[in-house]
Amino acid sequence: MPDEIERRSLRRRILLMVMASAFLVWQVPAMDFFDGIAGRENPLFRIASLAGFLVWAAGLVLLFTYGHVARGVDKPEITAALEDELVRSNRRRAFTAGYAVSLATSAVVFAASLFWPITGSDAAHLVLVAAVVAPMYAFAVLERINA
Amino acid sequence: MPDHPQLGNRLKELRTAAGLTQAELATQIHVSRKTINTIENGVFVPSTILALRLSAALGVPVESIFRLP
Repeated sequence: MPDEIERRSLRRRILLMVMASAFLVWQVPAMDFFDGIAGRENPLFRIASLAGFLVWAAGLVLLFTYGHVARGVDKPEITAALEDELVRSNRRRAFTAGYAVSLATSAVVFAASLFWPITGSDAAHLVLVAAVVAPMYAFAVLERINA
Repeated sequence: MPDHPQLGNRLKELRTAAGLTQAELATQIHVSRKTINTIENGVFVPSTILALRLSAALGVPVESIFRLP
């Protein structure tokens, strides 16, 4: 059983890292300012963005369906160990880190807007992406550090 | 970094004395091996409930596992 818990914990970590990276690949090319850098018509970025979206969507489906199925099938001891105090503590820390990163992103965007034109949509988009991705990476890193 | 650097614990010593591995102790109290490892290293301070479970599993009082200087 301990091996199964370690394996599932590692799988969750990897899935979160992959999903966070996929979210970045999906969202960054969709930002308005990215057009100025890469050009909207560049098909490579469109394909990358679409691939990012597909990986993100598949990850979400996997996370929710597998999570529900596993909860019904697994021994309660495995479920408890995968959601124990350390995991809950790491999750709290990850959300705190996400909040800090979102605040820092807002500050950077605000400072940058004094020198360059940044649309409200881009600003919101950047903060939103940071708020989604930072806690996912932070949780995966915390789980890795404590492994 | 430890949550509470001042809090000392003898968990590793008591677990070894009881002839248990980290994985075996973790299975007994329904947590992961990582959790036992982080408690032993002082990185994570468990709740009262988990501390009581640890003491029950090892058959010793809580205050013999955790101590303040």
